[in-house]
Amino acid sequence: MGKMSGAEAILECLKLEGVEIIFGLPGGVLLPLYDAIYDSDIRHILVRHEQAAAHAADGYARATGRVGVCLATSGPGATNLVTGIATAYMDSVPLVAMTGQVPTNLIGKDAFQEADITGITMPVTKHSYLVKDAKEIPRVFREAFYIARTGRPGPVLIDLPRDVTVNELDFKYPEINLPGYSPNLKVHNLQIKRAAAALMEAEGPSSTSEAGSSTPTATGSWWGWPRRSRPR
Amino acid sequence: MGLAEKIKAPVTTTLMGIGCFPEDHPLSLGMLGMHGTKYANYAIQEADLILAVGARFDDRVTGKVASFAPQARVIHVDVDPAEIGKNVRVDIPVVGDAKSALAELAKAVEEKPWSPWNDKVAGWKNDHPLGYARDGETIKPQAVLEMLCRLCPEAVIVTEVGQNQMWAAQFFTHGDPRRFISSGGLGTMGYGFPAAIGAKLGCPDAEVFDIAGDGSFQMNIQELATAVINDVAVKVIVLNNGVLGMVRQWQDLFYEKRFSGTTLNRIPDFVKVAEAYGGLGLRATKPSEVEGVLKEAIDSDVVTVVDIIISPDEKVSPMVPAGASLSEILELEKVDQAAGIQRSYPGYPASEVLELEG
Repeated sequence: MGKMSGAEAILECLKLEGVEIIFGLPGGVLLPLYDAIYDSDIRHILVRHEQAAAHAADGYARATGRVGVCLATSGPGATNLVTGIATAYMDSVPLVAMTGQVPTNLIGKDAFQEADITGITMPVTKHSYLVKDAKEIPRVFREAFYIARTGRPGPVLIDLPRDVTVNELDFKYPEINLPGYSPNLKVHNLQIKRAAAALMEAEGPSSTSEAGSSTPTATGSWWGWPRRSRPR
Repeated sequence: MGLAEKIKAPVTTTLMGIGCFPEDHPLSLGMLGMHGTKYANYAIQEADLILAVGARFDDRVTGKVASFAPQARVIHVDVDPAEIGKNVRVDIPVVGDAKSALAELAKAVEEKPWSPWNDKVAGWKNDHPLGYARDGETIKPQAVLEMLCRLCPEAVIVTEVGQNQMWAAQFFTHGDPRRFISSGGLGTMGYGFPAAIGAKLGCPDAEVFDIAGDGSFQMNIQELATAVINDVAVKVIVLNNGVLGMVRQWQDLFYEKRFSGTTLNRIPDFVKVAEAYGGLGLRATKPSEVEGVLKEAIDSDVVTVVDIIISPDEKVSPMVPAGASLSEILELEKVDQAAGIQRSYPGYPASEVLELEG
């Protein structure tokens, strides 16, 4: 696709993932990305507090079954997303949360509006990325959406330093290559056999004083995701 | 559903599972756990086998784990192997995609007849219906939820967290898994309104309601601007009790009515707030006004806030006290109005008024 800026590449990735709407609130380090959003077909919903961006993306995901996308600036913008990310994590909701970050050469210097958001969100994300080179953008976004929606769904965070959104790259959307991640969807036959046998054997309440016979109680949970139910 | 019907297994859902099994199905037991139905909890406690699908057995579902389903063997279906045996002992793990696992299980079992166990569960449903005590003076939040589900049976219901969430869960009647949206795990107050905005943008043709309390709604009330500016006509039903109701309920029951830090003083005026943002504000203070304002909200094509004044003493009932066994479920108010929902078994019309023990 030729050369483009990191910001343009991010929007190209979102387009390729079928994203139609993102929820966010800008800030200093996100200026290059918001400048690209200005020309994009992707609908941006400006919230009044970043927590709402995460929750709105979550509500969108739950209602549609698609991956929700939210966006916040570095520092307080990113930390304001945390409650929404944790909410999605606890309920296995597919979410991609993008955060602005100070330029790579200032990371660790207590720069203005700097927060270690990948560190902060590590226990409440399915996976997180700190992108240190614009060339990594296509691979990171491809993987992030894949991880968010497959297996047991969950939120994935992508931290984007300002310079990474400005620098140029040759855009090519790669295939997924994650040998360490393969959600187990296929149920083992033996497990089905054992479960079916138990279901046929069930005699109702085992207290013999009751006239109990047959049938268990099923505890259903979660809504039917297209190919799986409540996975992570 | 095919599997449950084939082996006549009663089905209960967790909060997160609401909508995955039709609430009006004869085998449906509604939600289980802390604020679940009595009959769901009794069934779990006496079952000899539990088939759990994607459930995580969290503390709000199990109550005291040591006395949870004491007679039951557990089959646990989950795509995440880390869930197996995390909270309760699992006898038969089934790791993989739930949809295909259930389809394969349905093929592998044989038809079972309606059994004495089914009759016993039906008896519990009849004897301990979900419901509430009618009161001509004040608006019953349960009645508001029932009426909303009746007036708008296709609506997407998003909830905040607390009493509003539990009433919505108890009285939600639709059989569609993507139409009940709630922060079940983290329990995030302030979730519902922005999540409703997201849901409405994702499903623009659906009627989307945020079932809120006055506490939760204020945690992200600023998003009225987002909704109004973007023409996202979400309807917010504020069950306004003027207090942080769920915490207050615990103070009432377990802390000698010492209402520390739970009084919100019925401020702000939500009708004025809605209008200040350019939305529509409505209010009901008497039971007779509820149907009118709900209909007006449904007909409205702008962001609408319905301020429904309820008593601070309203409780979510029944309730399993924290740390207690599911068997120790308490009825906190006398049920004279059984839920109009479907939770009826053949021969047991749940809509009829039942005389019950207090």
